[in-house]
Amino acid sequence: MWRGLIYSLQEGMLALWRTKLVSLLSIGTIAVSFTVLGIFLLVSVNVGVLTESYGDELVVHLFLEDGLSQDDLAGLQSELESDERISSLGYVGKDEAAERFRRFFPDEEYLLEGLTENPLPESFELTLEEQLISDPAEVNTLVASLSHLPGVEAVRYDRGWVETFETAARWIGYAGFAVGGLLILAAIVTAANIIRINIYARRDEIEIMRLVGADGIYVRGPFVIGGLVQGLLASLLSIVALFLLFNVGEGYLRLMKIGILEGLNFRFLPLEYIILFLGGGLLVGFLAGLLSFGRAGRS
Amino acid sequence: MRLASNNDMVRLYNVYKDYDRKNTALIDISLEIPRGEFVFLTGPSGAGKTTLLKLLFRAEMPTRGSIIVNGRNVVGIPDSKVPAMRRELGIVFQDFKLLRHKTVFENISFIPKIQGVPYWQRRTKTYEVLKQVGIAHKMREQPLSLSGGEQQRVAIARALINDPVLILADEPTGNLDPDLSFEIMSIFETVNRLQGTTVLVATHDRALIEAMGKPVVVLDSGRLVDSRGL
Repeated sequence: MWRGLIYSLQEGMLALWRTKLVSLLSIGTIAVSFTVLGIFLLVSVNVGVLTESYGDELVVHLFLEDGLSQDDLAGLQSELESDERISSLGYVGKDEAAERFRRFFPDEEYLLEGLTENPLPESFELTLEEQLISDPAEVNTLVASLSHLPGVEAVRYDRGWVETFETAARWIGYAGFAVGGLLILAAIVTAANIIRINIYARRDEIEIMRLVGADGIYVRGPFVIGGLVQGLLASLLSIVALFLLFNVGEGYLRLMKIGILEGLNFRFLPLEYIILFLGGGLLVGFLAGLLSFGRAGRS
Repeated sequence: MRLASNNDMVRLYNVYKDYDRKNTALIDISLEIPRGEFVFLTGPSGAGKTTLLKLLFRAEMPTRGSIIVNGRNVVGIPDSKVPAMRRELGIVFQDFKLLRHKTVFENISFIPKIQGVPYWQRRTKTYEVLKQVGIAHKMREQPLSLSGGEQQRVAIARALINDPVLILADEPTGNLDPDLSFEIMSIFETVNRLQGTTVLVATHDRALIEAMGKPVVVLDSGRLVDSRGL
């Protein structure tokens, strides 16, 4: 068994070298499939970074009616501070609101120019107690009651968009596996056909091996090993490509200065995904090598 | 017809081979070849010589009948045991069937290599068989740089590397001139005489057959029509 494996490894590597161009085609096909899957996973992972960053805090924005007096503000603030469900609150004046608008939406800054009055409302930012993260019903009750307080024009609950993004991240991941899975299946078939072409090109050699009494592992082994190596190289190539894409993409997003993304630490694929990629590449190559021997190698 | 004996290397009993309803290659072949014998298998083109040889090393299966080679029922062997059976045989073809990308030496030595023979042992044995067939001086060459006669010597060396009990040669001199043909036949004859290896050579070269004076099995249109000297 070991002799057969060593022989298959030696001959498999030699064969790959002799058919460099065709092998590169096979590797490229598999690498593209893994890269597409990887792009979906990267997006999903980093949407997760976004929701983690913003989702750890339960923040409710209370937008106030225009023209409230200092007494009205003080009374409202006192009422909010006495609510045990609210851990802290901060006041955001009109000027600060305008400054935040300019920072988060730099391309829309022109909307504030030329206006005689600042249209942005004052607001209170309420951070809720941590234990409420696991009690959405209680949060919704609180939000509903806040909307009825005097002087409150509108209530915005950030958790809503966080949950939306979390759902989006999950579905992006599912879509990635679905699309990537289909592409990988196609890559297996393509790689198998390319290996089959190799088998056909070496049919004389295979015939000779069979005629001199070589066991199956010596005949098929080099092709299966060749497939394994192609799959591994393809997954390595896709990881490198994804790393480059990640760095370029991160640099581009930073340049765009999108406020919501500022200060975030974008993440490359975690180690367990990279190990999955490498294992997946080996599996794809192995299956391609096995499949290729269907009719081509037996006849 | 002589009686079959346990000392026969090859025994065929009522063997038929049909490729389809209109294409019958062998019809009711019964034949015994004793161990240590050198036999020619002859007949016109399409007589069934190659088909018969293919049945002996399980490249084909008979439609009917039984085939015993070296005491083993060739038809009944499971597919997984066929490689081991072939390693007891030496097979030589008209078109040599050498591995183009390996040297002469590697074309021979890879066979004991895949059987786990240690490096020095297989190196020594490979050199011995190359010397035996008179081609050792070309062992570092690639097959395509050799003449037809030299390539056939390499093919014979490959057939000899496992000390086979039976050599099957299908038109081994078909691509060679008369002088070279006799040289090749003399190699087979020496192996048969000195090592006791049974040799079965398919050929339609009558001059060669008459010159060698060995037993002859004659096929015509798939039937056994004569077996002289057996």
